[in-house]
Amino acid sequence: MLEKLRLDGPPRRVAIVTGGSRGLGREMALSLALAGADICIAARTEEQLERTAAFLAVESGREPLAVTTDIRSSADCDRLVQETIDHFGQLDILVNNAGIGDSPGRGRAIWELDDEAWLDAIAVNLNGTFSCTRAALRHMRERGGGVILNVASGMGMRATPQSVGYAAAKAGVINFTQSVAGAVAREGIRVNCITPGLVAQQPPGTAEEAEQIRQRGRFITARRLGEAWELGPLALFLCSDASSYVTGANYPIDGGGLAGGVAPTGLEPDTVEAATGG
Amino acid sequence: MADWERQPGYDLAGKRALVVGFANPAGLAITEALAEAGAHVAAASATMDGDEVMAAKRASKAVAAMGRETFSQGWDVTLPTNVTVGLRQLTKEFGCPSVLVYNADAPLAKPIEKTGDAEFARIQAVNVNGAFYAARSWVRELSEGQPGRLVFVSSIFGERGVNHLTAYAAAKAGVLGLVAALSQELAPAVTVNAIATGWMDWTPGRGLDDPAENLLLRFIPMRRFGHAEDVTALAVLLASDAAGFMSGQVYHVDGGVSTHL
Repeated sequence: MLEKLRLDGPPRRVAIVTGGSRGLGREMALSLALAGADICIAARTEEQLERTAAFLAVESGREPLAVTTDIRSSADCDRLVQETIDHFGQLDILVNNAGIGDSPGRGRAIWELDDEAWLDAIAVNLNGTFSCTRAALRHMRERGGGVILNVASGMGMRATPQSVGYAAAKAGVINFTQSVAGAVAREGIRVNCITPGLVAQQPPGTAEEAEQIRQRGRFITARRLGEAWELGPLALFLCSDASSYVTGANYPIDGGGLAGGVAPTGLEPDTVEAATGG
Repeated sequence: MADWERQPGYDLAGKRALVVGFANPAGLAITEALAEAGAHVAAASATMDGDEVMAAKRASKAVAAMGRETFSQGWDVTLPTNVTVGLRQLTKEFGCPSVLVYNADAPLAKPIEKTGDAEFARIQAVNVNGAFYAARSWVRELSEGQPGRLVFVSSIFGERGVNHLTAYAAAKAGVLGLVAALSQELAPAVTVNAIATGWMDWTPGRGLDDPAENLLLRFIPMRRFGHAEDVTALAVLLASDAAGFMSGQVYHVDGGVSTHL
């Protein structure tokens, strides 16, 4: 059974992780690399990308490819896929992780949201997933197989008044997952989605950050925020043959908030206290 | 291949697990997978049906053959006292499991007007009452604050409507409610999740395995029925320390069919 989690073959797997230079993306890339996949990480900031590529090389002993990409540009997404194929010869796994929770519209009332802020939230969180998926599918369909893993958000499953653009885009990612899964299931391509709740992108660097993380975790059923590394094993499951009968599925990892308690929508503690009588 | 190390999330070395329910092949497959990941695994049948009791024994033997500790029991999950006594004895003889996988499964496909009282009661008793009894007895055996992993193997038919499955659907939906509520009650030490399967290769009335001959298969995006092996890695992951932030959820393993059911 555990053999099915191997990505080093046969057949060998090549994976792209967008938003792969930090946080959840970095940890998912690490999990896939440790399981034996050749990795291409993509992100906007070249310097951070290079740093993470070096980190992945040391940790996994595999030499990753780093491609500077702005997923808001469909041409960039096409280039990302092409460069990965040129470099590794194939593409088997696409992890659409890039997204921005702190988009320009965050915290602004909908009636004060300008077009630019709304469109940017949709562009980076939904359009980017579409563009990368389309580019990858053109190749995967030719090869007769592949896996796409999207990253949505708990905010896409519950009301998120303080970030309507982000929440709507992430809700879009969940349905996009189901619809694309149905379109390509017969071609041996699986498409699934992870829905993280509130997850700390990196371990706290200071006592102040640690306290902030602790405060934000108080109202989650698990009594804490998730940690980025916890996404890795789940991503590995969904990207490997161990999940060969899973497609179109949404796998939340949210510390229990979506099942009850307080959903991971980032409500301010005073709002939560009022709602729960806490 | 032998040099490949177990990945985080798939290493259960030293853990004690109990799998309940061997009427379908998932019981054995999950038992073997947990043992392969390093756990000591006990096996209990969900009913005193001779075939199921023997299947639990065989699963236990498979665990022993892998060099892990094991124990096998015959339970009747429809009787709460039987479950309590069984779990107490297990805790004494084998140790208290920190992982409980409830795989009891009693299927029934019948129009509602033809479903008798006894049949309906039986389907509820094995699928959902037993799930409640097993969880309750297990929670009573756990010491305060002891980390635990509770995994129910349920069904997408608890969430989606299909003709002639009223009794079964009601029972499986009950398990999903149990998951949601219990995930809140037992947090943060214990996580509670369900794996929801679709049409498996043991589902009664599924028909032929050839999509050309079977309209149902053409309705399943992946065009095949699920196999026992399809749920094993997920069960291991949910049982692992790495799944501490996964709780209260229903994870579908259904070939994509619930995307358009």
